[in-house]
Amino acid sequence: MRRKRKPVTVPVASMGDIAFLLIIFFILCSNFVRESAVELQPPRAEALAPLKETQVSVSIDKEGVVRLQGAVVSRSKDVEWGVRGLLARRATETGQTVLFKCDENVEKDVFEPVLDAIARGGGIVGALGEKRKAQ
Amino acid sequence: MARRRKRGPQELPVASFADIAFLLLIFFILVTNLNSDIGFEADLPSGEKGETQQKKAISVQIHDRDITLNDKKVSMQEFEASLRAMDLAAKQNTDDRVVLLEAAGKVRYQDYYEVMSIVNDVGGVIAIVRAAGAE
Repeated sequence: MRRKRKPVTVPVASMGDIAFLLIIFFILCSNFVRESAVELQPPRAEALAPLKETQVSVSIDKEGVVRLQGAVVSRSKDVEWGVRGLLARRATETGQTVLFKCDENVEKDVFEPVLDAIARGGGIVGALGEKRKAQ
Repeated sequence: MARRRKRGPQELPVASFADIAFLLLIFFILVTNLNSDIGFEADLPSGEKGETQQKKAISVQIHDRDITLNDKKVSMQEFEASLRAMDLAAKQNTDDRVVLLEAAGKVRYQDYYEVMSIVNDVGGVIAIVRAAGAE
């Protein structure tokens, strides 16, 4: 007579542990976007390299609205003081870089005072762009 | 007489843990934004044009869409070639690598960015020159 087989069970107890470890990995790696609502087309250039991860960001959208860490600022002096204050909390050298995003069509009267303000605030400008292939 | 039923060892229901964990995992995989920002970094010393700087430093003017390098009108390609020929990266003294960048008229960020990226790429130190009294 044939013996009745016991049902085979797959050991799944460790699946949860593995999954949670992966979750922790992705939580730590995630870089949440602060300014998802900002609409801008970055300028294009050839000689660009990956930028370091920055904690401070300044952006100018296509309407010319200036934002510091996602909050709208009205004067370039506010950018200078804001950058200085935010950078004072960073102890590392890499923390001196300020990510600067600006729309390609924004005019000089808008972006130049902001660039100057970042420099006066002690920041190193990390100017965001898009790679253009050499012609 | 009612007999007390013998209780088996109590277990926590953990079967759904893995499902929850994998759902969270999928969420984090989707929202993770791996750092793909590209651009260039520039430590901008800003100020007004001084007597000594005027004599020594390379001067670049952008007027509307025209580029002038040391008072000679050039195209973007000529500008890059001329600047590369100067071999700024090889110069030991930082003062010799300073490139004064002045913008006038309706200058778009795209043109300004391209000039800055070229100067940065050839090893120049960008100094933004702004008119006295500008904010």
